[in-house]
Amino acid sequence: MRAPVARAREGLVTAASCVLGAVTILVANALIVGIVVLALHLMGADDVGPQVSEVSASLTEADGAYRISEGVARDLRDHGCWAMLIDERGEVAWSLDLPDDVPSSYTPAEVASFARWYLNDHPVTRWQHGEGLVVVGLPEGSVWKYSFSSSLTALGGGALLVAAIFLADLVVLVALARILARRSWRQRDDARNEWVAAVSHDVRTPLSAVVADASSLAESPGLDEAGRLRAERIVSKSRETAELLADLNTANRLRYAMEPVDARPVHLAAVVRQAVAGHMEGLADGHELELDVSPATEGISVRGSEALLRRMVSNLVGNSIRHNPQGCRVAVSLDIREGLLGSRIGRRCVLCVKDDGRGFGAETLSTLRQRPGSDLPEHGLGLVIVRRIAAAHGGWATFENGERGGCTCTVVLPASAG
Amino acid sequence: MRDIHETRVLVVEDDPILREQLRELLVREGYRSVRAEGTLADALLVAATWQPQLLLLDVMLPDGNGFDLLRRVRETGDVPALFLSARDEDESRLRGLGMGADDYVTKPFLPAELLLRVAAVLRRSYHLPDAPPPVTLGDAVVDLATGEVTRNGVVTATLTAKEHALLKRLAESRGSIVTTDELCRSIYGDEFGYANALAILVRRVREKIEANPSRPRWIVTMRGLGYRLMREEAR
Repeated sequence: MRAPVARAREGLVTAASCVLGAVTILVANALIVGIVVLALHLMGADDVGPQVSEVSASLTEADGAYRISEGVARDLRDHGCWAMLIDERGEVAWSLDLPDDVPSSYTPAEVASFARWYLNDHPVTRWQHGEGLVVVGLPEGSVWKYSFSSSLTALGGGALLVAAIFLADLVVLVALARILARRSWRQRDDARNEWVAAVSHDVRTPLSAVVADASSLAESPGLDEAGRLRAERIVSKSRETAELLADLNTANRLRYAMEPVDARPVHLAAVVRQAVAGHMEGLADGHELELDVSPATEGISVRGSEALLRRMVSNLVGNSIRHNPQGCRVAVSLDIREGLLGSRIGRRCVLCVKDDGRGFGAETLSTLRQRPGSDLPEHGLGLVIVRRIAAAHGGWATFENGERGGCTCTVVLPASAG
Repeated sequence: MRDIHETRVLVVEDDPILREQLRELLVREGYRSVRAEGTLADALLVAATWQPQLLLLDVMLPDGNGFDLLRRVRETGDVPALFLSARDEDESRLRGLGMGADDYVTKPFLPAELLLRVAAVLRRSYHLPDAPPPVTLGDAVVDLATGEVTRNGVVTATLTAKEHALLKRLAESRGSIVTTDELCRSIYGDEFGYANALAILVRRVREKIEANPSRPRWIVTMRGLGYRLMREEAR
């Protein structure tokens, strides 16, 4: 029974940032790897020795004998390389530092097989030179060569697999981030709840002492009428303070629309009657309180916390009375809104508290219309709590001013099945 | 034990001022043996040696909590307990989880309310007769112990069990509205389906106690809510 929209929005934001983050990291990684490989390759190319094309270019033929320029020959030796020229018959026509394990004649098939890759474990490169083939051999283990070939279908499948694994990784990442975020929210909420509960506890104990003394004072025979009234006022104001503390505590607990801990079927009509009866006592002159409970709502229950629902009704009625000290008429009604095609599915209880007083101030109204979960206002905690309690019970509350003054608060709650 | 005021009451509350107020309140009400402690350890010691017959416990103590204290005291004997709670969270625990509390009041509490609860817990736990004071309704007096309605010293009617339950519940909250739901729950044990039965019951009681049952002066209908037993001075 959370506020699903707010939760979903938060979830979406988290998921989107995770995906974005993952993609960014992936791109950054690819870039870094690319740059490093390229740099190594460029550096490595110098390091491995002269290119076979250079060797081929510097190899000249004079009178049936081949010669290579001094510079290239030194370069080859410095890097531990060797070189040879294989003529059209497969014979080695010229060579430089040819290792012992490299043969001196080749069949065309042998040439084809070693030409690109390895010759007796020597990495080799080749270059077409006139009628022959120049082969440059590198020291064993200095270069890694790999042949890769694949059908396009398999390649496509592979790409798909990589994409799928990447997506799966993203999902895992998002889930992990959600779990971590939720844990940190919970820790933060718990810490705050604990703090508010502790403050509330610490204030209530001295308030108890105040109420106890003021009550004894009010009953003491030595006090005149004015003194007795003052003592009674201390009692009632102290209790009001305690109510405010309870409101603060409730609002705090419901801040993230935590569901009521003690959810059970609650007979809403009885709760409304009880809350209204509570306000009936000590109703000041000029205030009228009316209740209209539709017979259809008798026996209909709402799943949730009786204490919270009573607080909700009481806050609504109390708000109308408190903000209209000049007096007003408060009409409370409870009705049923039938569900889908008149069935019980989606059936709701509609509580309406209407007064003909001053109505809401523009600021209050705008605060009350912000989405639940936004910051607590400085005033009017009571109605914010109404909204939160409604949300925590899977319903909602709306607040509006009447066209001819006064205001209407409507709370819609899902009726529990059965 | 014949009188609830004979019970040994142990108050455990860490705030020294409130602790003294509670002790004074109980003594003033007529409880003859009241002791007050501020910590779980001291309370355990007193509980072991003094054998209190009622515990009045704060939930939060400097060296533990009231629930633990009660559990440890109950290891040696069954003692009724009434909690003083200052946290909403504790209330849900007290209501829901059967922490062994016989009742609880929320801080700040009205002294009169606390005394009523203490008396009720003691009567219930030690099966003491509930001796409610007679209900005076103008020139009629209803003795709730016998259910007899007396006018000018003459018994004019006797209440049936259900009528008695109705008047008793209204008298407990005399001057306040008692909703139909509450009345049905305390008379019939269920909220639903007794609205008509309740209306009939109220009419019968009015016939026995009101001078003019069709213009009731004592049991007043609060339309849509319930009934109120008017106070004597509120004529």
